[in-house]
Amino acid sequence: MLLLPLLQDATPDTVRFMLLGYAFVIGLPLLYLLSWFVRRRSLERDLETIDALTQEEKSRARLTPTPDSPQPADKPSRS
Amino acid sequence: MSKASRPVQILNLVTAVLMLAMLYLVFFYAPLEKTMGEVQRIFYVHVPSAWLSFVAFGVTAVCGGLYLWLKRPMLDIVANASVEIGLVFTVMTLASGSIWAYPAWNTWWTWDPRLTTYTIMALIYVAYVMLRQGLDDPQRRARFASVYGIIGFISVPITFMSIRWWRTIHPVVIGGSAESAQGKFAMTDPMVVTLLFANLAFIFLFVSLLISRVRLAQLGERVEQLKARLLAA
Repeated sequence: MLLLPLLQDATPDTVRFMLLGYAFVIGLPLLYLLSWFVRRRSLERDLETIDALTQEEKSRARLTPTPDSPQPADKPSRS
Repeated sequence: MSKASRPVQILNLVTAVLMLAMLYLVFFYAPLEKTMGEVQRIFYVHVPSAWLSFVAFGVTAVCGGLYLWLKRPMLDIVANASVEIGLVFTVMTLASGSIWAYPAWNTWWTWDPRLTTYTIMALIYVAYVMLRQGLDDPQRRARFASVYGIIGFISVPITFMSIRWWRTIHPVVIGGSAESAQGKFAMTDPMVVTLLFANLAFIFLFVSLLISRVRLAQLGERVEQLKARLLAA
């Protein structure tokens, strides 16, 4: 009975595999979240560009006279 | 993207706390498994990520069915987000399982029924993503993806039951008394508590990720709509 522990196999040293496993399990979701961050930034930039283009379009439409808009009155000649 | 609402912020915070608590239990509460050594601690993230991948693909199938019935675009967004997150959990499972397998089985990979069916399931959902990218019309894409998501879900129960139906060296966590289960191992109470807690933490992680991914997809939809409107003008 006293010799039983000597006959049993020692627990193997598998720390490196555990660390590798956890590095992957933690690293992969972090990479995934990073991809979200990049995608979100890209979409926000697109949104800003669209907003700027829309504003530009609006201001151009305001400045460009349409055929229906009233014509400016002729200036009186000085002669 | 607008800032997350208060409940979502609280959910994210609770998820972070639960994940940290899970890591504490894994490394300081769960005992050392004598046959495999420290690598057995991978079990506490390997199993929940595998289960959550099944849940994620289940959500896709349910949302797909609801989309075909109700035709709400939001359901298609959730289905797609769930597949993406499910695939992340799938890769986590495959990688952690492979790393665990090397010291336990002396090989990184073996064509065991569970490993094979799980890989086939992963490829089915990779094909789901490819299918979506190959279709331009949003309604057609949503319809096809919904049908595919429902049919693809058949692979999930097959994968789950594979270790019970066929002879395998993969451990059976639930129902390990099955005769065909060769890789079963006994768990002590602290091990069971850690595993259950890890499952809870991963459920919160899944819900948090799903909500954030859906919000990102909504932003993407908004940008696409604005682009289309600008081009039409």
